[in-house]
Amino acid sequence: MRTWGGRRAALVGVCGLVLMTAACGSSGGGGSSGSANENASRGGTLNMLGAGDVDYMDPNISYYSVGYLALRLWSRQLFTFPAVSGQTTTAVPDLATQVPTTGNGGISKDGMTYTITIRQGAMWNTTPARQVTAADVVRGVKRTCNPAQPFGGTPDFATLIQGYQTFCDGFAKVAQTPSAIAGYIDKTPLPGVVAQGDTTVVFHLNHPATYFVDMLTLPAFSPAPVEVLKYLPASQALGQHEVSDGPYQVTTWTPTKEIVFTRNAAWKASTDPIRKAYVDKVVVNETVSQDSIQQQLQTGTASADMGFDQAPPPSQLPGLIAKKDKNLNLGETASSNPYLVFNTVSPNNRGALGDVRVRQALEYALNRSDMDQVLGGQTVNPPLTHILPPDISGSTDFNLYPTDQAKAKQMLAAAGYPHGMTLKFLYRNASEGSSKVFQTVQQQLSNIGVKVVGVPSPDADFYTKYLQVPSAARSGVWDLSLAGWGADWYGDAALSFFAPLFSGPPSYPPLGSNYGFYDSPKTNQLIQQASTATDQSKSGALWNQADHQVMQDAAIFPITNPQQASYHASQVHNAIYIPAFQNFDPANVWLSPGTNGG
Amino acid sequence: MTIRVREAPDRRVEPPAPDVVGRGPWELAWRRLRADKVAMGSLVVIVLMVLVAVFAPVFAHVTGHPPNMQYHREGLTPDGLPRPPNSTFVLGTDDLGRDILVRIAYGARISLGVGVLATMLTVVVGVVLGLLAGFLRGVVDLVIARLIDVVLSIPFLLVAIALVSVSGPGLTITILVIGMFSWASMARIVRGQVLFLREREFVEAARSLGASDLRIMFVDVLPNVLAPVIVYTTLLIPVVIIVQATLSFLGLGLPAPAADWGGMISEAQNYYTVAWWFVLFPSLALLITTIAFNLLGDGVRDAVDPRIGRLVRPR
Amino acid sequence: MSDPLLVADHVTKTFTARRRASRGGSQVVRAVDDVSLAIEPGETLGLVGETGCGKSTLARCVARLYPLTGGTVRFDGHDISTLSGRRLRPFRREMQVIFQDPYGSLNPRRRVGSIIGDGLAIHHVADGSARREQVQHLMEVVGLNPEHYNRFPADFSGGQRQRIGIARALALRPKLIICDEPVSALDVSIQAQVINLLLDLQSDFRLTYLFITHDLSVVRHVSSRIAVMYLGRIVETGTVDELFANSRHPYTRALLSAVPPADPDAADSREPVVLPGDLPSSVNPPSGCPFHPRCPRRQADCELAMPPLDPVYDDGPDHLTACLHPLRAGEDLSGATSDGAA
Ligand SMILES: Nc1ncnc2c1ncn2[C@@H]1O[C@H](COP(=O)(O)OP(=O)(O)OP(=O)(O)O)[C@@H](O)[C@H]1O
Ligand SMILES: [Mg+2]
Repeated sequence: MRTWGGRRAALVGVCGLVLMTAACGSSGGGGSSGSANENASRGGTLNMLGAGDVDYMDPNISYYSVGYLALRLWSRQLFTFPAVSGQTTTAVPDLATQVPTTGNGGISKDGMTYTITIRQGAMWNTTPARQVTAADVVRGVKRTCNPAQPFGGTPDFATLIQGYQTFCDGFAKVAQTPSAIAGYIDKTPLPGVVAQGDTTVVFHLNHPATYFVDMLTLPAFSPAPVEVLKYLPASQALGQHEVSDGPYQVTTWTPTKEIVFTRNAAWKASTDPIRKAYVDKVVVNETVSQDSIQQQLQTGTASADMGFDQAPPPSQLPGLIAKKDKNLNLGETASSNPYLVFNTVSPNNRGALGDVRVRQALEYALNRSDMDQVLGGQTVNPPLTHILPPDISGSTDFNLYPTDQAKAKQMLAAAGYPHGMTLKFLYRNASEGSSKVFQTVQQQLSNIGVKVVGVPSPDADFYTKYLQVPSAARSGVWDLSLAGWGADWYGDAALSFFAPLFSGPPSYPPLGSNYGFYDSPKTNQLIQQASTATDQSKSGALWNQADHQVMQDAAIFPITNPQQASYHASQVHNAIYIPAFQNFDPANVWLSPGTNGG
Repeated sequence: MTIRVREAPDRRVEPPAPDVVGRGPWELAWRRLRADKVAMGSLVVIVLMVLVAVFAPVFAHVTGHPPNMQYHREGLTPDGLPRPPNSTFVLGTDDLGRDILVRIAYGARISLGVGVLATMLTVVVGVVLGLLAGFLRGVVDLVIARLIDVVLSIPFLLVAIALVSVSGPGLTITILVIGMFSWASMARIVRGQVLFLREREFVEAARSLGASDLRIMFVDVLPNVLAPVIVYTTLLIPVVIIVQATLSFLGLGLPAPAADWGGMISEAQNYYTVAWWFVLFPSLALLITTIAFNLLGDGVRDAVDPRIGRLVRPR
Repeated sequence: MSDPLLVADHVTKTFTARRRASRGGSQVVRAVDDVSLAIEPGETLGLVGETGCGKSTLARCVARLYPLTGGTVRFDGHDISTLSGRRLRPFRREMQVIFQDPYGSLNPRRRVGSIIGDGLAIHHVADGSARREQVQHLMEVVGLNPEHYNRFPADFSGGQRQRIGIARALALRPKLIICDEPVSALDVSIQAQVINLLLDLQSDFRLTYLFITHDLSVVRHVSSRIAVMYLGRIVETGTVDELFANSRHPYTRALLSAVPPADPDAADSREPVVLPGDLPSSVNPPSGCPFHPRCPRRQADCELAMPPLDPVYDDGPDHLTACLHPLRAGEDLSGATSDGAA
């Protein structure tokens, strides 16, 4: 798990962009999904408007939610999240026939072997159409660490899947040509992922991992047909010649301009419990500005149905929320963004922030609801009082530090700071959200005699010159700062919070994202136990303990679990928001008859 | 023609004038300015704005709202939206629940302060360099004239943004950056005037009295370039105020939570659909102040010296 | 006779005029060409000549407002031709200039009191109320109302302004005042007043004047000696009476013929001589005698040799003429002799 940092920084960067405007998400109308699907009308063209492209048109490599959004239409996974309100973070079988459990024999007693069977009748759109096989799954997993363009999230499972690390180390030395890559994939076995017969694939793990099924929802684990080996992974050429097993296929892809999806004749609705595929065609226009997209979606032209990579402009969010627009959705992100980091290694104020009593005093002094309010209100920014957002297994609602400034003052005095102290707050001054939280914290802490001075930073320097530079923290350039975090997958995903943020030295920057250098043996042990537990309820309880422990140690001050805003035109029905791709599920919407052209 | 000479010595005293103290050029200009209703109206507005800036703490005291105090209950909706003007917050609140009226008053300090300080810097540097170049000519002139050309050819706002982002935002750097780029136009104007003035006989007269170059430059020449300098200065102040507001608007102004108009307008951008007062009042303050300075500048120009009507406007 | 107060010795001043039309080519203007003259203490030397002949340039050279191209200027026995800045300052006190243009020579942005007291301030002669007193006294002396101390030049008429200029020149009690056409810009009715003032001041303050004018009727009344200038050179010098009675140079004679007689009733009413042609350019001066193209008496040798400034005929050492064929006493420019002496 050595490269958490780089990957997470990218992810946080995306969320941070949202934060710099009004808020990460918004509130208001609630879902518009109410339309009864019995009346669902089939056909028409779904027009999605965007300002940018997918990261990669390659399921095994794509790592951003906009890439996942497009994959939903033409690529299937073993497990995925259904477009069913209230269950959008619960993994269900997609290509797999069932969710493996120890009860049904899918998971071995020791929790280290997963046996998964692929549905009969799930076909590739090759000529002639061909069954999706276990060998395709093995090929897909192997492709994730190809030397040309590896998948960014491999550290999530590099040491989990047997032999994966060794396989990848060898792969890294292979020439970056399609034939060399194909050769290595064909000849080199991956002991942790094995095809048993045509449609049964077996995963061998190094340790039990209750989160494994949820992790398999990552498109990186999608099957890959042999045809893709003709092209370099993640290349444009491949993207224009992809083989599809979903309801649609990529008909044309003009990078950064347009993607056209049309129906895949080889796909059978009976083999796909997830995708209803109401519309005949999906056209993504990638050349529209954020403001224009919103305007077109609101005026209700037939050529504008939903957004692609753009959320409603933050400037318009307050208005949309205020008038309770029913086409606006605020969805879960399963993230903690922003949260306040305490620099536990800061030498300032005689190392005050290294003292847990001081950090606890600050936790008591800070008023979360005021911060959530200035970030856009609790509809968009529901308070988060602990590490794990509510949609992550192991999360329970608790608050160790209800705001109590009198108590905070006492604790500070008891810790040896009766006259307060001065703290340096590092924040991105171009980010409205960061700036607002900074100013709010400044006012709140002034009440207990703690003076907060701002250390404004340009966006570009924030991570590269400050947070990811250990010496900046150790020399006391900052005492307080803001960061954000989101899970890679949903459901059983606590590991993807604790390992990179709170696991002691392995999580320190620049590799990890433990910017405050928090290190607690108790927490480290709990993380170790939870991540290797055999039983979901057991691991859930352990993650919950870890959550309590980190909050007990006051490593960070969580602020909110922000909601993601999405907007669709009035003619769009059954728009179900899926956290994994932070948008409505395009494979399950249908259009009002008469306005489905364009 | 006949000249009658050797008459009785003529020591006749001229008929006494009504005033003993002569009406100097400045006084005449002031009289003309006083007759200019638009300019006087603008002057009143500016004086009021200065009073607002000076007595900003009075606004805080009377309303009971310190400029940086956030009112999360009375000043913000539960969704964190600003509150419209009401009896508690006369001009409404901003996105952190602060009193816009009080912040505009404190913002006036920064806008006017930067306007005046940066303009003063510009004037001092521009006038001194313009004087030296025009009066001393030669190598000094060559170097300064080149420098003027170079500075005038630099795209000011871009470089200002770059400099401020490198150095980090702050009041001093804003003033320095503005001064660094605005002096050139001033120097060019002064130099042109001095080139013409240095050939005037009163300069020669001063030299024949034994005056040094320095004395001639500052005692004899300088007062004669003050008219265009004053006009240019009055017109420069609003430009500087706008530049400062622009830098603030782009996030290069004073660090939070300082109140300044450009920063307030920048913060208000995201709320214009839901909180008109948030963007309107700081913008009005900026607009009224800059228009007042511009109108006053026009009036001063007409009053001081109608000849310099074709003077270049500050950029 | 005492030592001269001011001696100009072979003073030359050239200007390099750049013409825009001829790119790169620069023309040398010899505005003052090898001029030597001396001014005795207490006397008034009148310097006359047509417009553009170099009178002002010569004045500025001796006042050290211009650097010299050649020659020396001695003041009170000291060579001041190469002094500058601080070392020149003591001599500046002794030698003042009254300028031609009463508008251009007074700083419009300074009050009259400050203009008149400028020299007192520069040389730290008097400060504060002492300076004010002195200035007001000076104003009285030159016939200005001392209460107008705080006014600006624009409040005064041309004659009054020239009085301001005179007061300024007088403030440092100089020995020599160079008057560069002090009245030519004034109304005729005012001219006499100013000239009389200058004469009174001369006797009151024992002043020496270099009095520049192109108006001979003025020079006749103020000067004890006259120097006539033509195209940057002195062509004739002598006492007023000598020159008016017995001028030798054809140019002087032509100038004088334009002057109305001092006594209108005198029978001696010569026809004014009109010189043909204009003053030649000092960029390309004529060869030989610079006056020869316009001279009614020119002969072949005039084009060849530059005549020296020397006594001619039986003139004394004070009457010098630069002419190869000078006029004799009583000889007419037309060539006729009225007194018969040939
Ligand atoms: N600064 C200068 N640069 C170039 N040429 C000059 C300059 N000053 C004077 N001259 C030239 O020198 C010549 C003499 O000029 P000057 O002013 O001395 O004449 P002047 O006898 O005083 O004439 P006026 O009676 O008009 O005052 C003229 O041809 C003039 O053009
Ligand atoms: Mg002259």
